[in-house]
Amino acid sequence: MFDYPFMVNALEAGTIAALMAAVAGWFMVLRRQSFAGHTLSVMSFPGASGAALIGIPLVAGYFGASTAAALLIAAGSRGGEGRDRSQESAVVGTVQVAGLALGFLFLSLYNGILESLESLLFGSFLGITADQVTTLFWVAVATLLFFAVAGRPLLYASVDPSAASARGVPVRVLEPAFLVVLGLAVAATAQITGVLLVFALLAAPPAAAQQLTARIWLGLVLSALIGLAAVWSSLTLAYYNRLPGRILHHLDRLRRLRRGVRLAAALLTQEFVRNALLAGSAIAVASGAVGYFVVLRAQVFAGDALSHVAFTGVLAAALAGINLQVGLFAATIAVALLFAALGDRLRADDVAIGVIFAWVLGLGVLFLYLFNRTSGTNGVIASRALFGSIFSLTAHQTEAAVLIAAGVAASLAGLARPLLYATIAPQTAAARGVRVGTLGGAFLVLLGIDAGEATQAVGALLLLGLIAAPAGAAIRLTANPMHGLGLSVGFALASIWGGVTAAYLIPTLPPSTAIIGVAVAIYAATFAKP
Amino acid sequence: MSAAVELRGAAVRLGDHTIWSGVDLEIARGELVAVLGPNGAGKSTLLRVILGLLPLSAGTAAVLGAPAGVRNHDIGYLPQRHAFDSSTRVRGVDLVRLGLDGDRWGLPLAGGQSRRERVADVIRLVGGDAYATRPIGECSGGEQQRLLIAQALAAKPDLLLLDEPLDSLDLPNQTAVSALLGRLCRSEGVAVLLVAHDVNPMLQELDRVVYVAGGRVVSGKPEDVITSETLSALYGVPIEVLRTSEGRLVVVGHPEAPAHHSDRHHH
Repeated sequence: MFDYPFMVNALEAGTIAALMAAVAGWFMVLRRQSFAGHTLSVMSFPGASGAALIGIPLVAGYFGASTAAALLIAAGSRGGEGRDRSQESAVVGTVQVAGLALGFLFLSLYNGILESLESLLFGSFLGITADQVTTLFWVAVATLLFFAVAGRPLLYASVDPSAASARGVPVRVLEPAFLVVLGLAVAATAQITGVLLVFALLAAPPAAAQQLTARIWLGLVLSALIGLAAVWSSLTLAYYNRLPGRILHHLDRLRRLRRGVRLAAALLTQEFVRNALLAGSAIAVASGAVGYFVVLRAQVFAGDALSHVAFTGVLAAALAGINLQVGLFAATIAVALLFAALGDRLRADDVAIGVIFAWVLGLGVLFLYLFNRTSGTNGVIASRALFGSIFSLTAHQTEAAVLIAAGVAASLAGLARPLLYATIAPQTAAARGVRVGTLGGAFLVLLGIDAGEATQAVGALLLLGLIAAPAGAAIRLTANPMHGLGLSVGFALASIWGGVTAAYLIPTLPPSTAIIGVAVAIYAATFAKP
Repeated sequence: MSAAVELRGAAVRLGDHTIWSGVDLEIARGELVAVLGPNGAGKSTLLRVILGLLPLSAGTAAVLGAPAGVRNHDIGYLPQRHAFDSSTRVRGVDLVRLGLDGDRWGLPLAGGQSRRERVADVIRLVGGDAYATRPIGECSGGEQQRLLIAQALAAKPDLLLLDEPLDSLDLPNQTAVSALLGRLCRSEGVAVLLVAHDVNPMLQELDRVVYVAGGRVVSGKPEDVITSETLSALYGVPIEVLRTSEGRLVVVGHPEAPAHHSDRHHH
């Protein structure tokens, strides 16, 4: 297999990426910034599509977008003393969906064909050029140099920020610097593994290494070895099984995908708009209420993971030839139950979530590839699953959406008080007989159902915006739980109504982008509050 | 009336390690009792046993006349202090209200007149009117601690279990909270069992101390238990207890003596 240049390039690039990701990821896992890492990786999508739109090199888009996002996250999550974790969770989620929505907008504005969309999202390991290897190499050198110089103070700042700060470590400089370096490493790696899967290389090896040892150097070495083993073995496997490193590179499939998006826009009749508004409102109520607790419990990352799972569910159902909605909800509920079973080991930025969701997304890519071989119509399905299609809901789907949303909202109303207790003061609530673990699990299932529901409106990549942004804004504005719940629902409704109207009036504006745009604008506006 | 807490021949084992054994302990209603002892001796374990969260490996535990865990509704519990994240955007008054009805299904509404009054009463009792409507993450450590105590009191408990309620409070706040707890015991007949690092701030209010060390538990009046003889026997090394002119107790001769260690929490 070394006879083929593309194979040699892949091995070289994979080796460099694995080493770089192992080190950067080791710090990311230690700092519990998996969610930020994932978001930075996703930034390559708007970066590349934006670069294509304005006609600059894609690489510039990749690195520009991830650096900008890193600085935004660092600025937005700066608390009184160092970084503020639950704040960070909402900021990171919002930055991520804003980026994705922008990427989608750029994509639909861009009239030529963005050839690398699918390799952008899902990677094209076997299509790497020698130039890309060179770029990757220099980024890796720069990244490793940063860790060689700043590794020790960064470690101190990660483990005990106040003590580090007292000893003169510039914590407030190191934190954004780390995010920027992480962004660069991730952007470079994303060109190889794809935006959606970069996380597997970044989170899983360090997480495994940190489970195995608490020693720093041994951990870094193990992390690197595990990453290398994963890359080499999967490349060898892919070579001999002819399975996709480079899964989707079919231009005609891409054209169908774009035609599907245009078709949805062309079919703007009153009935579709009515369905969109009705289903959208129901989804907004459920997502706004669920989102309030998601943000309060700092589970934005879990919400993000569940939304990506929706993509895999839809494609699995398409492959199996069963009802797409059945697959959608089965997948989100199953993974929600899995998260619930992991229980306490699962906290806000937990790597376990990241590893599970990278794996499930990987399955989604496999399903997409298999489906692509057996059928020619997947473009629309994949596009809808990823980016939503609120304007193509049928009357029947609308009815189902309203019923499910009503069920979610009613269940949550029943759970709200003990759930709030279990969220704010878990030990006391447990002593009072509140089943904290069961409630947490039940909430995750509700979140899973809501994720499946909202996927239909805004798509798997963007639905986090509908869950996290309105609630994040509400929680910034009021500390009264009932007001917060109400505001969160109100903001979600405003996002749907505003977005649907804007998309109706401006045919080139995809509705998902418009909805998320309004939600993010509301969230951003709360930062203007003194 | 049954005792608030009654342990008979109780022992706790975690894995292969016996935390303590052969414990006989009775706490009457209206008593204010401090649990003292070195770090890791099993003080918080004692509270968890009383809450029925940890099974005994031997003996029996009766709480408010029923097996441990059955009457938790009538227990107010304050876990070992955890500071609220500065971005916890929920008000103190909401936290206190959850202490009253947080275990019931439904929306977190303010509730009827009687519930509102109860919440207002306990907040007044701990002196928290000025900051109860601020987000709890923005309150100071002492303010959070008072609101947490109000939360534990909201449902009119018969027994209060407090894990290091004075930890991270300054001296005036320690004295004020101690006085508040003493008042509760005397006026409302609540039994209070609290884990403490330092017995001195509340020496005035205490009815009894329970000393947990070396796998055993000794209880009695402070002046009977915190003596050179008892502590030397518990630790198995010579220990000297001195009494300063203002009545403060100083324990010398052991690295983890109760009046000294401020070694665990750095806030």
